[in-house]
Amino acid sequence: MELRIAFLTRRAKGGVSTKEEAVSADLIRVGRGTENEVYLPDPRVHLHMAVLRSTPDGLFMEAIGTGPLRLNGNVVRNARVAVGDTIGVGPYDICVVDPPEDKDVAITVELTQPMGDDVKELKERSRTSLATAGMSKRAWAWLLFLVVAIGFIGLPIGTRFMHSDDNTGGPLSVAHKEQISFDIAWKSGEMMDAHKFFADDCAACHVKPFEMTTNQACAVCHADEPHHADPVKFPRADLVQARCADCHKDHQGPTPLKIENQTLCADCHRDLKSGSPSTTLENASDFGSDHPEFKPTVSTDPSKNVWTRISLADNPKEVSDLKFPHKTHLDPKRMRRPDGKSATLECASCHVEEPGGGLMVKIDMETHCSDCHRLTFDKLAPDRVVSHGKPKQVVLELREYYAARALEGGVPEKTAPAVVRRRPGTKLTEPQRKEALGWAKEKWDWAARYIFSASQCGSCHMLIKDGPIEDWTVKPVRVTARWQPLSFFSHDSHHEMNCVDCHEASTSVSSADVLLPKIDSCRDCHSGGNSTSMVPSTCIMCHEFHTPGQPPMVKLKETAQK
Amino acid sequence: MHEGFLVYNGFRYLKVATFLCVVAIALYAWDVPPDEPNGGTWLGYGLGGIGAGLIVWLMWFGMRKRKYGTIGKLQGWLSAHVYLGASLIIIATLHTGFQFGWNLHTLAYGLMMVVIGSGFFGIYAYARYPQLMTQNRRDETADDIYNEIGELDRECRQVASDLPDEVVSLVLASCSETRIGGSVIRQLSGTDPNCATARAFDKVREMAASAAVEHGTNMRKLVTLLAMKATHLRTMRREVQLKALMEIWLYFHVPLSFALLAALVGHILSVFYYW
Repeated sequence: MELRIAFLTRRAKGGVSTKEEAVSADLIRVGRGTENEVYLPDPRVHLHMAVLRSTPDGLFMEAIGTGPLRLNGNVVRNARVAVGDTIGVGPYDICVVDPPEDKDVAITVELTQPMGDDVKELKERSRTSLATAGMSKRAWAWLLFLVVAIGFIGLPIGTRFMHSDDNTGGPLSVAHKEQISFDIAWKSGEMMDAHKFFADDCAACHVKPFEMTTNQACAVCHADEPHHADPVKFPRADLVQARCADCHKDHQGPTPLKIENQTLCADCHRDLKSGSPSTTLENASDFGSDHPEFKPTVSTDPSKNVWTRISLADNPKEVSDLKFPHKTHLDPKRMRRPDGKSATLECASCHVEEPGGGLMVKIDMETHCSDCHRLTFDKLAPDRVVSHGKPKQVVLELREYYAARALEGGVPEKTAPAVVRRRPGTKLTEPQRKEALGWAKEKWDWAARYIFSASQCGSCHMLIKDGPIEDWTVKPVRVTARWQPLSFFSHDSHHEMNCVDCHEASTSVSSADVLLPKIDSCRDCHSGGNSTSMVPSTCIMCHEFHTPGQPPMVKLKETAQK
Repeated sequence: MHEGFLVYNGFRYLKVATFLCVVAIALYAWDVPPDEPNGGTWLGYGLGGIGAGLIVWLMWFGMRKRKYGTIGKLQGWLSAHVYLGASLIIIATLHTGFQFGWNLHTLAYGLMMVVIGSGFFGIYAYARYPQLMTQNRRDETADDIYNEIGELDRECRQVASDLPDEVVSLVLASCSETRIGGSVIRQLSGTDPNCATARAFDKVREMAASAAVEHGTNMRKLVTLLAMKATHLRTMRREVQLKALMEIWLYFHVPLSFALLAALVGHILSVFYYW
């Protein structure tokens, strides 16, 4: 077979250059190997790729090895080829063309897919920056911005608006409990325990957007909380416009929070008269350095029920109409029981705290005094006593007692008439009965005078001996139960101390002494709220802002309107 | 620019930031709020206002940076950005009064701390990686190395032209399939477990041991060329890794600062919405 091979090379400026070769062989081999008749020096071509064979039936091509062979674009293994066909071998196109007269076959060979630029292709394949790897700061910024904005601004406000029709205010609005409100993401801190049952319902307190929580919202539950002072009498702006939340801030943890800082009180109480000229209160701004002496409320005229506040500095005397020397009762040498044995009393023998430690249990004659102060009236009946606290009944009891003894007979008294001393059980005649009752009257009259004498009732009470003896009585006792009714004091938290550390009872000889310790006694341990070396004691440690008896903080009418 | 911004103008902005922090700490220690220290006291509002202002101003740096002014000015801005940004740790923490919870407010605080943390990594990256990159390339440019790889590809194909088809196909794969970098993870890892060149190197070296006598020399030459190419690829992948490490923090710093902006707006809005 005579073959003409024309190697075509296209020039950059256009046109084609041709290099022709003539080959004479039975079998035309195609491949990268130099021994091939059609030598294709490109690494993409296999060493041996195909053979062309001329037969009487025509020209045939046959693939060798595994390399793909294409005929007019279709992959083939064996095929008959004719003029006009294009055989694809790797990056080369081999076209069968009309042979010249002296040749059997003619082909053109052209490298149609030359090797690319390695560096350019490597760079194209490689992604060497984060931006080309699909990262985008702008996209992530938008995404995260929108996620946070929608989740934490859009949804909370959206659900709040959606539910605004149901907002009837107050924590008990059932509608709120059944709805999901995204505004809980705004909750700035743990609610106090007492408010936790409506903690997820922000609108219970925050009624209107961009408006501070109102007193009305608090008053839905806390309607009766009294004011600090009557706002009509003291129309100070800071009093009238006071907000509950000024002192009671929630979202600060489980413990109910009230602002304890004394500055809050001292702002006004440092110079009270300048803002409230009609006040009778003295200034106070710091327990340690600026606080008046205690002014206990004492009884000054029990008959007219007059109670007066007198400063301890003025040595107040209480008119209680009770005689009681503490000194005597605390002196073991002077204390004797009725049987002559010595008795030792201590404070706690009579003064016992009420549960809670705030006040003392009321002192009671039967419980605390009657062991020694026995209301006896007859030596021959040493166990017989009259009732305490009912003067009119005392005479009645004595009359009944002596009448019964006289009529029964058998009285062992030597000076008594025979009829009274007769054998019990014998019948009395009318004259005898009169005689016996006459003796009885003498006896009860004497006993009543004895009971209403300075040694019995009169040893503790003020006696009133007006009119007949049946009307004799004692002045009612008015012992103060609470010296300072508008402040707190707990004996409970002072357990470690002795009573006499504060109360000078062991030297007091008169019940008129007010045995309340002076402020200096407290200042041995306590000082103002900012103290670091003493017990810091703010105003509300002893006083309350919401003064009992004052009109309510929030007017009920306003509450109802809400 | 690298670390120059840290010492800019005799540490001027370090001094400003330190002053700001000391004043904030002193005020916090001095102030005795009527209730617990929190963002709602006057000092809390003050610190919060300063903090919010700083955050907006610091984000403005991103805009300012694009308006290429003189380097000196830009360095001053970056210096202020870094030091005043760091001062937010103190200012914002004092603003919280150490009250944290599962809410938007702590989310804003947390985002701010992550943004600042990523910024600190950025400072480290700027100080450390450019130096490592220069060391890694041994004074060559990345383009030099790319050209050397291209030259090696050409030589490999030439040497392989007489070698068996199996070898040639490995060489061709090495030329046409090898890539540098790739996905974010691939870039950060600095390696390519599926590298066509590494595969070609391993197989050709294996085949060289049992190659025909007439192919021996070219096979050995090919192994050497592939090894050289692998070395260049390692350098380039390390280059890409260092560059990715130097850039990656910004992909947290910038988007998270926008998330912070949204959280900050929500935080301010919510505290006054529910006053």
